[in-house]
Amino acid sequence: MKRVLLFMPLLCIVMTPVMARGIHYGAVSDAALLACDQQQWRGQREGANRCYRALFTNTNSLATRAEVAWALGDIKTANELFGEALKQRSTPGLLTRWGELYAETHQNDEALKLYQEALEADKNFSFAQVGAASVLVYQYAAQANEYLQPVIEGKNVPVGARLRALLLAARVNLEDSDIARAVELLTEATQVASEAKLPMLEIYALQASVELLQSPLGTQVTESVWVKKALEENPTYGDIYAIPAHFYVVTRRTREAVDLFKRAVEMQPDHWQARVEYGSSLLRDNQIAAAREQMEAAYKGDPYNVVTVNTLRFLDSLKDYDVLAYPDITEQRSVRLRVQEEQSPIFLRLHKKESAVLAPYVRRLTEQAMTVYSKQLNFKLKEPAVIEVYPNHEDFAVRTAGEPGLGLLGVTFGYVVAMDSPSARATDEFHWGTTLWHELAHVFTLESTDHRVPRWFSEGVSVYEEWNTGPVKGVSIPADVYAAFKAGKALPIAELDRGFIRPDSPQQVMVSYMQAGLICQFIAREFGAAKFNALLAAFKQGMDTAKAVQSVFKLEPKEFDAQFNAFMQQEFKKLFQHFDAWENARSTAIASYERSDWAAVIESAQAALSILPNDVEQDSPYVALARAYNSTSKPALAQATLEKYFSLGGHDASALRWLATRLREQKKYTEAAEVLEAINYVTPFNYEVHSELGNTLLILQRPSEALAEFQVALKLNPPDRASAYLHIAQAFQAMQRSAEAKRNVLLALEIAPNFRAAQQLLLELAKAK
Amino acid sequence: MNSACKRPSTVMPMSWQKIAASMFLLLCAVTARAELNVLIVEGLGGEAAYQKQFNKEATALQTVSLSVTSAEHVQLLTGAAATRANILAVIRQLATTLKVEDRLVMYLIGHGSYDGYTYKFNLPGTDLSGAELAAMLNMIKSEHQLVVATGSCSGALQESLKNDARIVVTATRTGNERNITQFGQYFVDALAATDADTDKNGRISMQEAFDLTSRKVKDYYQAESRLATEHAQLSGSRAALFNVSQLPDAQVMPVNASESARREQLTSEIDELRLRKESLSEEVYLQQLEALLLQLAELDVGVQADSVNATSEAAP
Repeated sequence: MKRVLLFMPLLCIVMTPVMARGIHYGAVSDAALLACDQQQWRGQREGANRCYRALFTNTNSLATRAEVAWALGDIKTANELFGEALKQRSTPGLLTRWGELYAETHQNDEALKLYQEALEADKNFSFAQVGAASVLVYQYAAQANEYLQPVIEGKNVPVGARLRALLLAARVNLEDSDIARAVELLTEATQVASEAKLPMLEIYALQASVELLQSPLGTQVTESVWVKKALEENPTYGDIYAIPAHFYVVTRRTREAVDLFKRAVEMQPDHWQARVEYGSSLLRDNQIAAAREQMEAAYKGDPYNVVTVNTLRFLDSLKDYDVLAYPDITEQRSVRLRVQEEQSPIFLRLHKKESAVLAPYVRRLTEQAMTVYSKQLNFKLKEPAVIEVYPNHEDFAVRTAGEPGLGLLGVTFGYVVAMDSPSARATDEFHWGTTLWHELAHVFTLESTDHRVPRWFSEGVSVYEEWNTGPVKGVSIPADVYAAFKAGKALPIAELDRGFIRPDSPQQVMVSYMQAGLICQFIAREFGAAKFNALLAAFKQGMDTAKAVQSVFKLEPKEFDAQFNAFMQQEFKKLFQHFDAWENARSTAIASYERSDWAAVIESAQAALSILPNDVEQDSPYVALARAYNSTSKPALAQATLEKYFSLGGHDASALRWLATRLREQKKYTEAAEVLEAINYVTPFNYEVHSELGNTLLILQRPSEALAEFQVALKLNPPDRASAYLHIAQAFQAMQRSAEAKRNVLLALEIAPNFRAAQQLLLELAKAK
Repeated sequence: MNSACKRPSTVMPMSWQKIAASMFLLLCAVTARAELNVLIVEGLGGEAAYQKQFNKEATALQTVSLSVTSAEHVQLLTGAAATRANILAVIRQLATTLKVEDRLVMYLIGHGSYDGYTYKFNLPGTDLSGAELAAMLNMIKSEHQLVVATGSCSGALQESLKNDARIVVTATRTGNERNITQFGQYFVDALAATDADTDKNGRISMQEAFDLTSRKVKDYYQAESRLATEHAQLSGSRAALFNVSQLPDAQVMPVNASESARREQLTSEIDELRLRKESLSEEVYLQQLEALLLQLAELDVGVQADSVNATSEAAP
């Protein structure tokens, strides 16, 4: 199926659903139009359509005709009529409504321009302010609040605009998990709507959302008084389920979201946005075929939605992936298996071009993580975990959010983990083994709490586990995050979720990750890691962060924050005291390294490391220092530097490669194997590393592990295939599997008949026979 | 020892008598009929870092060339000496001395430029154009020429140097790939890499060096997540037979006439079997292959063992 381009022009005749034109709360004042709208909002769709069609014929107002065309789903005509109406007379109201049309068709940038144009004409035009806020609020813009707050607080504001502002603010607060504030706003909204006799449907849907988010597990939404009220008013109001479902998505309760979206589209089959979110939720629940069905239906109804188009393209690309199951009874004869039934504990969805290389590593790390987490977090997974690895970052982004441009490396939806492949980024850009380790912790924290764990704690445990049990251990914090901590940008624990969900700046997300990890570090040290389980249990019971902290630590959140801050001051005392000196030394080391000024590198890198010894993140002074030592004929010092760097969790592949070579030269094979294995968790597509590791393991008399490495090396299509086959033959020989050894040595000699080492092995095998 | 082979007998610690009696390098078998002449030109770097890099590559090529020919047949033009006039003078001289069966390798290490019509190799003073180079090389009688240009825009040379007698290797696909290239450093490394020697005969052919270099360049751009701005090209035939270096620890293949004939016979049978591979079951194919390879292995390893024993006996 061909998909349209991402941003298709608006001028295209498509009958979109009548309900795509949302409730306008008085933004339009034509009494005849309002009469039709009233029928529409009560779910009397046939009557409403008759009313709209009659009005379209009878009215002379271009603006009203535009509204009617929109209501009838003729977007092209609506667009043209708005344009013509504005040529006759441009008003802020008309510009705003045109903006709404663009927003409804997912063209937010264009919508924002129109809202801003309206505000240029009248800076206090409240409907435009709310419109602008509704676009900006999803673009991490603090500016959204600047638009919204005056409308909420304003005294001479049109009541409909104020109601919309209150509803938007309530939504935002619910997304931020500030349920108390959301309830206040909804109470005020209810009062406003009642007094002005404005539609209450959206209020009911948000109230139902509040109720669901606070209710015990297993509560049926159909029992909600708000749902009943809404359906009495409009029996086809799909949003009564779709809006609460959205909050399940926000709180990562995918399965509950799936159930509610299903109800929404059953009730209102042309609610295309609900179908898209339903499809996305099914995808997160690994229901690929069902997800495709919903997306196909959504595309037919609303081809403007980029999420639909991108997701369908993504689904098309899944044919290029292998699905591997472990454990697998056929494993002895074939590593690759087409999965017939999804019963095994681990499923891997890996791109065909990478699966042979990645599968052994992903599997091993996943199994290790599951062992560690099952014990540590005292929870056994109830379903198979699905690990998906995407070589194209944008595929991962679309799989995760429906749109490209996502800044994350991995995402966990419950039992499904999706992440970037190491090939999706430049070498050394991220440690994919750590990312997988991090995401797998989420599987446990989410599933053990029925997805009720707050974001900060789930991230905190994941970061904590990266540092303490992951493939590269050690507290590893990006340099710029320290500056944020020193500047007091850590958030109170009760508000820490905001740092992830609605950050003030892109940097705040990373600061929040690190803060969450440090909070867990603090808890483990001061109260014991067993408190993690107590917190998880509290969250499962439905407690919010403040209550959980009180319950588990017998501390008010403020007191907890004070103790954590004291911990931070102690933990980073030296750094905070000498912060400027550290920053200066670090940047000097980097600059000196660039110009190969080795004496300056040694001096400044040593100075930086004396203040912050565990600085192993990007641009680590250890790497610069080792290079400087090596370039000034001090290889022993270079080696010692990199050994320390490695022990602290440093993972620069080039530096570690050099270290591994040194260790092999010194016959320190155990240490060399450890380093080489670590490199594969950064950059696994280097056949030389696999080959070196295989040879090292062979020396260490670990032939089965060596064989696995050699087999991966061969899959990477090395230029020297004869040697690759010989290595495999040697590993088989060491395992006393002569038949396989002979087969592989013959394959080596088939390529290079005079390959002496292979000839010798062939003769040896023949002799033994 | 074949008198045409000028390679010093330093590959293995054997007695002169044994060498004289029965041994020669397979390389020499290839070069026995002809001289290999190497001309290396280090172009203008423009910046100190590039000049340093070019010099390193040119010097490494000089060293590696000495593994396949004698010093008198390797010429290196660097720095102020690497002028258009000097290059043309050397080629003119080669045109007078090289015979049809001789071989010529020319390495051009450095930046190039291309204006859509003319390729120029950047040199101190006047640059050397692709057309001039082609005209001069066409004067040389040798029917075994290899030109390797490692720099930017070098792809433009593919058209101007095209000739039945010539293999042309360029770092870029066309003259329009103008960015600094990675090809040179990986090419130099490949000439000394055991990885490059895919047929395990101890020698690196131009084809083998090209294959490894292309792979490394591709890996480089992939690792850096950068769009590749160079795509190496090789044109001309027999690149797999044109040896450009010998590995330092290359195996010496001692033979006598009957062993040589037997080896050739076995090699030919193996080649013939490989051609029939698709028509045989894997089991039958491997059985037949094993039989032939065992014979070859016994011959090679046996001969080597004999030679080692003989060397030990001859040692004082």
